[in-house]
Amino acid sequence: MENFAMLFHGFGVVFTPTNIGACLLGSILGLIVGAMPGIGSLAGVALLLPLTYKFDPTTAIIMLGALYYSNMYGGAFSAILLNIPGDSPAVMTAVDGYPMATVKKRPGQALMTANASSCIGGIIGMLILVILGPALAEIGLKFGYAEMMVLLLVAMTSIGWLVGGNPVQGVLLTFIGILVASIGMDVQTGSPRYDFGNIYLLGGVEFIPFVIGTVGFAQLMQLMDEKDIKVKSVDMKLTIRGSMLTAHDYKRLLGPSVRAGLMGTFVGVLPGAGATSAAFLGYAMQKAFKSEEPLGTGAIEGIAASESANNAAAAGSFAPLLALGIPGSGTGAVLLGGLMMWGLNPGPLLFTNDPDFAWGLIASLFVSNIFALAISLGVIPMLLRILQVPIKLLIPVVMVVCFVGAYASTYSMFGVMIMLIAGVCGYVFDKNGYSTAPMLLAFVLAPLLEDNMRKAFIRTAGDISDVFFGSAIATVLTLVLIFICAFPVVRTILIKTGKYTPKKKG
Amino acid sequence: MKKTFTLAIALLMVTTMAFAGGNADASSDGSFTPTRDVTWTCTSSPGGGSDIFTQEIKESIRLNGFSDANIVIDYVTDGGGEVGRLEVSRMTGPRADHTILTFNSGDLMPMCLNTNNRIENFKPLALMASDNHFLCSGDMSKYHSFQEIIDALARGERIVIAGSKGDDIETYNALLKSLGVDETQLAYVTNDSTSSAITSLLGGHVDLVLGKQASCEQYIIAERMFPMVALCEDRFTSDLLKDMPTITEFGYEACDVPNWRGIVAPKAMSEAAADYWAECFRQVTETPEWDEYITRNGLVPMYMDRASTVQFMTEFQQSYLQSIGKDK
Amino acid sequence: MKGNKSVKLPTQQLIPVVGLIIGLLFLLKGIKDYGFWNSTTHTPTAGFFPIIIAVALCLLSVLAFFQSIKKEKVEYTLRNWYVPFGFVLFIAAIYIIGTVPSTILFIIAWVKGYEKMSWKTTIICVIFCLIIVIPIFTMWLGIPFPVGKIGELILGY
Repeated sequence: MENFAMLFHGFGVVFTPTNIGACLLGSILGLIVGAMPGIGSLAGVALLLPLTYKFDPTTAIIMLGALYYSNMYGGAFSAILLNIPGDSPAVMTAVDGYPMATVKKRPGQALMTANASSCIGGIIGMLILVILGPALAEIGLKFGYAEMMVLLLVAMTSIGWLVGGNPVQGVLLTFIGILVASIGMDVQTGSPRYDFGNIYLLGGVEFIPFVIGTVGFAQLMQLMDEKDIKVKSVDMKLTIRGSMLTAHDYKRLLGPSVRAGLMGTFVGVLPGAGATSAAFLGYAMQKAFKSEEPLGTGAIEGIAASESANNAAAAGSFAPLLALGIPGSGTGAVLLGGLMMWGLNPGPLLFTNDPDFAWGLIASLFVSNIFALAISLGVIPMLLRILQVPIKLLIPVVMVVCFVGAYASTYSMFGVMIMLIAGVCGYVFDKNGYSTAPMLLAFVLAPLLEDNMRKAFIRTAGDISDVFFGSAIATVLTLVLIFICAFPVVRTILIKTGKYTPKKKG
Repeated sequence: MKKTFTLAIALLMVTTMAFAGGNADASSDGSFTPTRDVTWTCTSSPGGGSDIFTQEIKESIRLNGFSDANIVIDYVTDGGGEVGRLEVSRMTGPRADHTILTFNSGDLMPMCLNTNNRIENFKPLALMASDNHFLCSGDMSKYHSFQEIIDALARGERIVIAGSKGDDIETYNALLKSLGVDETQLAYVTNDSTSSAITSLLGGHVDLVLGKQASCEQYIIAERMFPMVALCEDRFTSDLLKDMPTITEFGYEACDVPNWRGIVAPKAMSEAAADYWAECFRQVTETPEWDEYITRNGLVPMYMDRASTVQFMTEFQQSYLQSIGKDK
Repeated sequence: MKGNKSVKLPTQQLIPVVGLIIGLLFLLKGIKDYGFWNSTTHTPTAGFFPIIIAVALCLLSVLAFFQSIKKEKVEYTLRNWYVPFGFVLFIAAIYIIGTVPSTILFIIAWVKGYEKMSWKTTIICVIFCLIIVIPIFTMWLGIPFPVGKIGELILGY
């Protein structure tokens, strides 16, 4: 209860005209930055950090916290309307959001689903942050190299749910994704790996241009087939009223949002995992649950799981940042840099020494959640007009947006080249029935897995039993991993030997 | 149609001029004054130590009016920063006078290790500060003093240190040499940042952390981490760390590889411009904001003028190249 | 319809072959340059993880190739490829005349030249793109887009 009292104290800090103004400004900027492809929360916060130097530290962090947080809302806009994720956590939102907007002709509802589930996920994350606070950060600390490695192995098994109709093709692309992600500087040895003598490859292949290409640019190539089809404005209802979800829709999004919100918060707390991993895992987890329509065809459940998870993770990542001064993500690292520039000392004493600051920031997350939701709902009719633009005009304009996004995320033409190559490959893969979603998931998770695996081996001097069974958490996760891997095999054997008959669906 | 395209091309040229600012460079009469936006290249991501260092100096120059130039920080992190360093080293013409680069020991070492680019391709302008390393244990560590570490190593126990990249790895290698043990006994886990290393120490997943004052200070005050031994020759002077013994007090050689922070320019920068910028940086080191920055980050003030910086960086590079066997 | 020429290509078989080549490349380079296991420290080296994945990719590519033998060739239509071709020309123009002029030229060429839309529509598209590039990304977010060789000459780079 003491934490809730401190939260109310935090609201007292936020509810001053200056701080409310900063929160509102942060929310608006975050939405814009989030919707712009290529400028994720990391670049957004970093670019706007210098603006806040003249502010009081509490006002500054409220603005940047609101910006970071509402960025998660903004990323979904372009993912749903253009199939170009505004930032990397919105990649999975595009998988169902875009078909729901274009094929099912329910763009308003798709945006509304993203907003509602973002809000639910965010509130879950924030409540957990308030209730568990520093304890949550301590739980995150228990996940060392070995624990993270086994957890990521468990997470990688979710690729099986994303591979689509042909598992061989899906896994083949997954492996290509992992190898592409292994290009760059090897952290453990500090030397280049698979750079093939190219100085640009020393830094590896950036995720954002890779995604803009694989998802967005490939989509533009496909759209050339439909560019002469006229858009009928009567198909779209351009008002908030016309975008409202039905009671049944809300029922559909609630379950996935709550589940993904809980999971996302936990992923956000883990060292180095971040909102993108959370969105992937939220979506993959939804695959294991029942959805009214198949995921990938414009299902509300898919959008809800991905959006709720990434917002919850954004909230969860504040736990180690505030309680221990440990950034859970790149954006967290920039915020940490900001704290130091404002003359604060981020670390275990922040809650004790600067309660106004820490609780003010947490309270501002609640306020910015409401602001972001209200603004997002307000701009839906305006956003929907994008879909009325004839495809033949949309294609060249979005090509320019792809260029701008890829360049802005890397500050170099190399990023643009990566985007172009990934786009052409993405188109060819799609044409041949290969699903690219598992490749993107592997691209995000594999470097984390490899890093933790190598650290775990160094930590234990190569003792495999110590890696998998060295702690209670690692042991439990290993057993879960064994179960997940063995279950389909055992099930098949039981079915073949006639000892088990699966129930028929429907 | 022809007319339209002529019009379009004319429009393009006008836009190019407008966008480019239509600047012509000022002639020099021995002294230098910036005549256009100055690009300050930072090869690390925004928010990190190098970025804060860059922002601090930029702000100080602006606030105190040491230069009227509009300085724009350009983050070129491609290829682990090598692309940015190469671009700056190759810059020529008037732009070279308006380009500066944040250049730390943590930049020089990977540059020498992974590329053929060398300090001779730059014009060193100033050395601003340096940082020293020490070992810390955590509240879940088995060992609480350096003597316990020495005893444990003598018993053949295996100890794991976590630290960051760059100069931390070099310091660890020097520590192995100084203690006379190998990496199987004193293992090192390289992390992306010191905060990741601290995360594993606080969780009890490693025994020690190789850190610097700025990154460890708050954890030491909160008694989550305990300073164990300074790896440099002299003791730290701050109140927080002045009681920490140095490795030399235990009879071992000092093994710190100083993490210096400096600023360089393209080799083609004119002497007048180089003097102008070096003077700006000297003035920065005399401001109260700079003192505050040094104190806040637990750094050691280490200002050097142009000539001394050239000598220091060249010697540092020479010794590093020797240590990795690339001195031929 | 413009650009509706098409060609059938055996990409169903080509993708596994490319997968096999990538796998072999990463496998051989991994073994040669980065190693697999450090037997002194009992820890994996830089090649450990990619080598395992490369071996798996090679095996899977062979399997995928045999699965694909009976699959028909895939039809590719020329107009879909206008997008990457147009983009390559756009990038080439950026290298020469810089981002802003190239954007104007690209939109005019595509919307007016290829799609034969009215000048009014074309100019609206140009303005929309320029709003994204200049006030938002360049001025507000401070992204230094390339100014091209001509821009560099004017700026004296």
